[in-house]
Amino acid sequence: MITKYSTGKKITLILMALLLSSILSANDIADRAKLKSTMRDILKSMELIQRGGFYANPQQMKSGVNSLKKNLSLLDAKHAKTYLPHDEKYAYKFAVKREKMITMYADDIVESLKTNNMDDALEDYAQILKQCSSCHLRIRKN
Amino acid sequence: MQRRDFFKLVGGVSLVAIAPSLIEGELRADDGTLFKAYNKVQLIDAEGNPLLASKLVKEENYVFNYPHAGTSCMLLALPGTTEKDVKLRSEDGEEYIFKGGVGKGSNIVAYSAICPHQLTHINKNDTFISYTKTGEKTMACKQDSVIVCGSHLSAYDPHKGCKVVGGPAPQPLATIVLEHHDDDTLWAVAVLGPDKFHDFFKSFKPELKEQYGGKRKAKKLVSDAATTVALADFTKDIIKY
Repeated sequence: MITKYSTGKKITLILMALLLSSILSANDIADRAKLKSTMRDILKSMELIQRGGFYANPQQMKSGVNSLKKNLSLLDAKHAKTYLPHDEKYAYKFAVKREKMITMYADDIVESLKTNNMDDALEDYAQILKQCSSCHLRIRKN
Repeated sequence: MQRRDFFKLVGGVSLVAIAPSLIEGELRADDGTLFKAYNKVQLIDAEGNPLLASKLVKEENYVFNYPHAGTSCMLLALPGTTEKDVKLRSEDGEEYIFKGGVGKGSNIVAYSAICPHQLTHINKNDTFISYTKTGEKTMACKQDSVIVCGSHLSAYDPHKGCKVVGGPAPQPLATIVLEHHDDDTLWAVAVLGPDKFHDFFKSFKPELKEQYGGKRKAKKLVSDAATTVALADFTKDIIKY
């Protein structure tokens, strides 16, 4: 069935479509800005852990771990499909896996520090860094 | 090369060719052969019965843990005969020879399921590395009937000793040397090619604790028998790209 619209209705429909697309686009921009901000905070958390390692300061490392886990929860890799570039949306399971591994190593930093095992804690830090770069290599690419 | 060294090398290589399970320890011959014998282990099914080569489903992705309790390997009955005497090269430039598959059709092969690029591996929760059947498409390469690591899209040809055919992997997957006996049973006896076991145990301590009760337990060498199941029964999620 073909519905015939008057010129006025047609203009209204076009305007509504434009409005909707601009809202979606604005949401997309906002999502990307939020993602960038969270990623920067994750980087700061990593720097905190590293500094704690350099100065043998377990407390600082633990603060870094807490900050990292808090920011990871904001990132929510399960929703990676919504913010990944169009040609990389399929890879969200890979992002979810990296998030899980980062959390696992972050928890192990705390465990290692409980037994004053700084070597193990630093190894965990190195593994977190690997997970980050692994995801960037696959998904971010630049 | 001194005459004594030459005889040592020829003797060692001959022994490997005749009966790999007779070799114990590590053999790094001067010609670059890379071979490490482990316990001779029979492959059994989930019920504890011997796994028979003739009963394997072609192109089914089977899994067993070898040579360590926490290192998973893939077992495949490929659709066709594998190539023989394939020259392969490790990341360090060492050359070694893949002799071919076992079984009546020379199509049964096994490989370590640890990707040498960034150590992606099969675990009980999920796997990004698996076999892509004939006719199945993958983003990693145009070829089918390959093992694909979905993490960074490396592809390996199991017909050619898991030679790299796509992606960033720096070397083949290590071959698990199999023996096929007259009673149709299958045995894992050694690892050929460069393995990544050391790096694996160093890198996945928390995961090994979760899945095997600790690094030490995961590192324990498998002896006597290795339970072999379909990949879908081993892991909860098979992720393919």
